[in-house]
Amino acid sequence: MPALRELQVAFAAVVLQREEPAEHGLMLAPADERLPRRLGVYRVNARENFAAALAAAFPVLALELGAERFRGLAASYQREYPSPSGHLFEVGRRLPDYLAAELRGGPEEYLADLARLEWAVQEAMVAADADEPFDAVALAAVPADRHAALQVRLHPSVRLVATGYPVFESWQASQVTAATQRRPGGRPVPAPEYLLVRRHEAGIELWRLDAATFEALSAIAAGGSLGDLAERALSGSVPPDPGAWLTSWVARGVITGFDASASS
Amino acid sequence: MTALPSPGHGARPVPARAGIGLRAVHHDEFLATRPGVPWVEVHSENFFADGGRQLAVLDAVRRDYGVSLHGVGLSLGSTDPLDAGHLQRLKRLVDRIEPALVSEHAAWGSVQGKFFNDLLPLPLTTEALDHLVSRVVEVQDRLRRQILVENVSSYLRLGADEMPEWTFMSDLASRSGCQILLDVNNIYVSSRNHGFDPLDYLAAVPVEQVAEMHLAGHSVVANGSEELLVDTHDAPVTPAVWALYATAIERFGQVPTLLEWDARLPPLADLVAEARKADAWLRVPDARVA
Repeated sequence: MPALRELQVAFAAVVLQREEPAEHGLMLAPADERLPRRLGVYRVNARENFAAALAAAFPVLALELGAERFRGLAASYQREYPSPSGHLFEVGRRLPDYLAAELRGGPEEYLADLARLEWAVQEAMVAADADEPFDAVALAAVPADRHAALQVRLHPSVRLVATGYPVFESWQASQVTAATQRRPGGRPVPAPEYLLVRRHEAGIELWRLDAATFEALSAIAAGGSLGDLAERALSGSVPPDPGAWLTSWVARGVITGFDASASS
Repeated sequence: MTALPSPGHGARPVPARAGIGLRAVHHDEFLATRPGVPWVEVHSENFFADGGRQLAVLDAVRRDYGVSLHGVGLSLGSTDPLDAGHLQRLKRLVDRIEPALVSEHAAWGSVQGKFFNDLLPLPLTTEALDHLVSRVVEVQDRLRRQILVENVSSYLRLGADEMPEWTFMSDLASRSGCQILLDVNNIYVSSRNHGFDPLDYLAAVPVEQVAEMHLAGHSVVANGSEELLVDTHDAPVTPAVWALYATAIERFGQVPTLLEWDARLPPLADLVAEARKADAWLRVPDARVA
């Protein structure tokens, strides 16, 4: 009898690659006509559990593709990228890149952007909570000559997504209309879109941004200081009047903290 | 064997009554109606988040109910190294929730980094038992607490067994220091699929090793004269499993019992009613048989 390790490797090939037990010297029981159906339970479970997790993470993509095509996508994606974790959440992590490679240059290229947005939503849903509300009093206490070095923090759930196709409308429509009643959107015309995803108490919020705002928030996400932001404002690459701009995003709960340690 | 601290300090206990598996579709209704069940079990992995609503729900539930964290993805029996990230996230959740019980499965679900996201049976061999014992010890050391390990349903056997499953489970418990989460439905399903007497299983497991029981529905797939039972968790508990449960109570006494239902979920009230049936078997004084 093969050692446990060899047995598990062989059984994986039989279940995930649907190879025959005899090819691997596997002696499964019952070794009669009942075996294929019993093996089938494990094969179906591996396929269906994967597909169900993927559909839960990408509901709008599933709607766009239709049930049959989505199942086909799940099967081909699983062959390329089997589940990497016992935590089913991780199943979908590589789907946007997989779709981008598969659909590049084709008429359904936009679906990769939709998948990127949906994955950002997934990440936002499980991201950390903000430590505490923005402390405006503490910010006011920071001496003015140290403001340039000050770094502000985005809410941990904020995700910034730049797409080559407009996918905002498609996602928004899916939130207000039951999936079963909504008709898939048409294929969009290429046009860049700048999106911000954030989780709040009632759920997920999605904003469409202009390019300058997107760049400024991206700079903050990358750890840029207020001084960096002011320089970008002067060059016109981020919105003018950074102070008023920052205040508006604090009010919307997108900027939730700051780090003055670099200035002290 | 290292002495492990008693579980659940600081947490609400899980009494010897029937609890329910709490699933996301019932979260809002559960918090709004606060049904009269003494404890709930949740799948650990569903709460591996860093923050957000799911965790907030569990934080709220744990204030008023006993909680059991039931893992499905640790792949205890795999010959791959234990997933350190998975174990770390489980530890973080255990530290946060302080559950009365933490459990996993006597199964494997991954090899060479590929996961099935399913509970695959281990061969019932000394090698597999030695391996599983070492893995359970590793998990208990990491979590710094005793865990429960559940017997799984199976549809085939991986090679020539060297011992019956009840010996495998009992030896696992005695050698690793874990306790057994005895899934009565899984015993019934496997007994029908492999042709053993489920009463032999119950009679062979030492009473002191069983710390929790599971009940669930299963499906019967017929093909000619052969019936294959599949552990689907999508239907009420069958009369045959209720009967086996009654025998289990006679042997193991009043043990916390979970009513599991994971697919085609009924309304929350129906799930609670199904749990009350288990309470009736447990002879809980105020239980009503639905």
